[in-house]
Amino acid sequence: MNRFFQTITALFLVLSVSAQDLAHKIPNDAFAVVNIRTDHFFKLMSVDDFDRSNIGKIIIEKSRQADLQEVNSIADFGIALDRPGYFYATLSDSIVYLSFLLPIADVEKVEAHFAKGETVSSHGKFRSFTKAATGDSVIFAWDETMLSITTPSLVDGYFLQDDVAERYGIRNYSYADYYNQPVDEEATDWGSVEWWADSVYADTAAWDEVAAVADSVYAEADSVAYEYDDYNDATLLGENQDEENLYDTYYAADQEIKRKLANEWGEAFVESQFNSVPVASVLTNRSYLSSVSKDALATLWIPSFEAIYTALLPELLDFGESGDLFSYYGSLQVGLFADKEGFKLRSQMELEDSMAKTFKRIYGRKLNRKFLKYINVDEAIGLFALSMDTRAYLEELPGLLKNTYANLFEQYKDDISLGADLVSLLLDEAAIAKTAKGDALFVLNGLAEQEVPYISYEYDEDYNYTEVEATKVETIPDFLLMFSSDDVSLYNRIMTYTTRKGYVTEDDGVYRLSQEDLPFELVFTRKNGVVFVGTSVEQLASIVAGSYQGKVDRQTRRLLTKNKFAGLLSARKLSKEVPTEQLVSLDRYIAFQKIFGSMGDFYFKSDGVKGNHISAEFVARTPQGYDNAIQYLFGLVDYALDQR
Amino acid sequence: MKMLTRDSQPLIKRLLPLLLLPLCVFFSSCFQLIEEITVNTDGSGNLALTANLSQSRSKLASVMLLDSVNGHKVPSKAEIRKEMEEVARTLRSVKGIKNVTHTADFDNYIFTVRFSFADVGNLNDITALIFDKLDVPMIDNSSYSYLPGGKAFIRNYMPDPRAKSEYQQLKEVDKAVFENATYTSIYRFDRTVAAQSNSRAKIAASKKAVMLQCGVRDLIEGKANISNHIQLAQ
Repeated sequence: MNRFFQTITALFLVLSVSAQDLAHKIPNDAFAVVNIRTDHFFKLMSVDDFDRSNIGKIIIEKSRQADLQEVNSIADFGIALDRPGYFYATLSDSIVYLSFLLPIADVEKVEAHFAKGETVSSHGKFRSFTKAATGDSVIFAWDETMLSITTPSLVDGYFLQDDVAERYGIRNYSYADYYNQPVDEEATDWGSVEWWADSVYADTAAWDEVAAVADSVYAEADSVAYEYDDYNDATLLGENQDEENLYDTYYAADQEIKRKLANEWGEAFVESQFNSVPVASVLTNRSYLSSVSKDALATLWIPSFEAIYTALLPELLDFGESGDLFSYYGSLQVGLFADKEGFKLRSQMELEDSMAKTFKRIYGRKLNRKFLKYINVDEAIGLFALSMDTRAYLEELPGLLKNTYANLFEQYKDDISLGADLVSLLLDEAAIAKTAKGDALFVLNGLAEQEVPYISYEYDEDYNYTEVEATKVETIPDFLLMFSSDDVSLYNRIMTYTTRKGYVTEDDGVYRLSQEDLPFELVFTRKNGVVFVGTSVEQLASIVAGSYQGKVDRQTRRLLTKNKFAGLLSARKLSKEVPTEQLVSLDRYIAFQKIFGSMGDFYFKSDGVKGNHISAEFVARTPQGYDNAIQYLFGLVDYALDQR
Repeated sequence: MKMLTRDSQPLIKRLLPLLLLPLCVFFSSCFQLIEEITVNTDGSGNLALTANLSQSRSKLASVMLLDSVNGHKVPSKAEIRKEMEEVARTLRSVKGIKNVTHTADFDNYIFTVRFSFADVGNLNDITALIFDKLDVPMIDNSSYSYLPGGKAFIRNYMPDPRAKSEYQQLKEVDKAVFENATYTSIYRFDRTVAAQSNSRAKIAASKKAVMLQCGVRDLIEGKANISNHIQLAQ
């Protein structure tokens, strides 16, 4: 049952009677903090609406199945829904604490639901119980205002260190230890086994001789029960038939010591949550404060990007002696928003000065505005724009390689550094940048229908068959890719060469590449410093003739030109483009149109580096007819569940 | 016929990547399988198997550029050629089989295998061997026989319930591959056909051939019966 409540709390982490923000309980040096704004969530969707949604009904139904008859609403769990909850992690060399802090609205309800059937201990200011979960235990503790759900988890590597293990009486007994133990205890003449290495392989003895000796050794081994099959059979272990399997015994003893340590430390940690406040709480951290937004549904703050790697993959530290793995990156902030426009996922990462300078150089180019003339927003299903400076990228690349990989693979530091410099030496950055300056725009104009031939058979009256060419209609993508290029002579030389060789054909400046291996024809042209690669001969011909009529709205223009990366996809337009016959059944057609036909646009953007931050945003726009993104999402979920 | 019980991957799952069938996301696709057998009075004859995937040519051309589709590994052209050569080599090793030829047309995605046989019974040995080669478990559900004196040609076929069950377990995207696929069998004789027992089959104007067409999906699901007892004029 508690697993169920953990899931609910993780989803809807709610609030308390206390007016105080629970963030003041979170220490300044927390590894990660998630601020879950249930208050904002329930502003966008009322508790009543939530209860009436399919998700709300499922939660209430599951609660009743869990014998909680008095639960009729999400509000009945006793967790306050009008203030934020938190999840945070604190790390040390020996233990990780993962903790939810939830504000309480009605402590009696919390106790009735969360502590039902548990052995609750009272600790003065607060009460608690410990629930064994898979692997680690979970400590539930609460007072009148706050519920803490904490999982302490020991760091295994720490307890493998000899001095640490000795301090806590941990044996770290391994299978190898077990395997060798009887040798010492029985004082078997194990030297007779060493001939495997010494006399047989080293002396390259005849194979017959080896077999004979091997047999004799096995006979000796049997006497002290070294056969693998006997490993788990305690009765065969040595002379003492009652001797237990040492590995299992020692392992269980180690685990018991660790379990007690985790519980003891976990309880102390939880006690500190209720009985004291951190010397410096996370509320004193400016970086954290800047990540918090009252309009967000949830925000995640990780003070050090590097810490993600070192915490999750501590082995990486062994590679880099310098300890500078990703030290060029600072804090990471992610926020999930839901407003009238839609769902927004915003992320921002702090960069060290030199890295910020590098990225500023790389993203120093703006999108060629000539591209915009060749977009028709009424037709385009998707757009993707990139604006970077090829020359700056190539010049900065060796440094980036050295900074990241040379530190990660310390033993190859010199090789990587030399390799990076050689690449730099071999590349003519200026020439490459002249060919492709670094800005590009990809436009998915639609899915075109194309008649394609295939081989079928015709049967005569005697059933002799002959191959005939038939045709069928297939859907192929209709796209246009544009990139800026100043190197007209190289373009001309390539086109002249490929035309002469018969790879392409030219018609009024439009080159066509038809190849059996390609599902569609590719066409190329170049005009005013822009190279065009597309699938529509007509479109490229009109571009060359100067008769192409594009159309771009202000919103799309801003999205593409004000950002370094930007993309846009219209699910609604895409759903209209997919030919009906491709959606084999009517059911599939209806479901497809219902889900995708009403979806809003998706877009993502990154405006590159501002100050010392690089940021990105992904947005799923709310379609017309919904007040906000939450209501739209729940509408979609309701629809999907109703279709089951 | 010998019973092959080698049981590893299910039959359909093994055949799928080999036939290059996992083609696309949720769009249907097409292929044609043609089995043409010519039987002489003495029981010898020729067989031609054709797999025509040209209707899905452009999709296959795209698929061939990938390593895997829908979780199935896409074999390279070289691997397909090698597999076909292996099948041809196996055929040549069967007593009574000769003149084995095969073609692989990667422009149109049409694959053929042809050979001569000394006796209709050889076809049963071949079927068993090929299934064994493909590591596909096979039960005694299909056979060809030719009655002494050339009285009749008998094609026995019993749907394999495992094939149906495996087909039903396939993901929708993989099932779609079979949706419009067709199977055609043509049996030719040097004498006229007096009668045939399958209502789906038709006798040619010359009375010397019998043709049957059905959907591959119907075949897998056991909805189509391709067994036939063809009575030949004496």
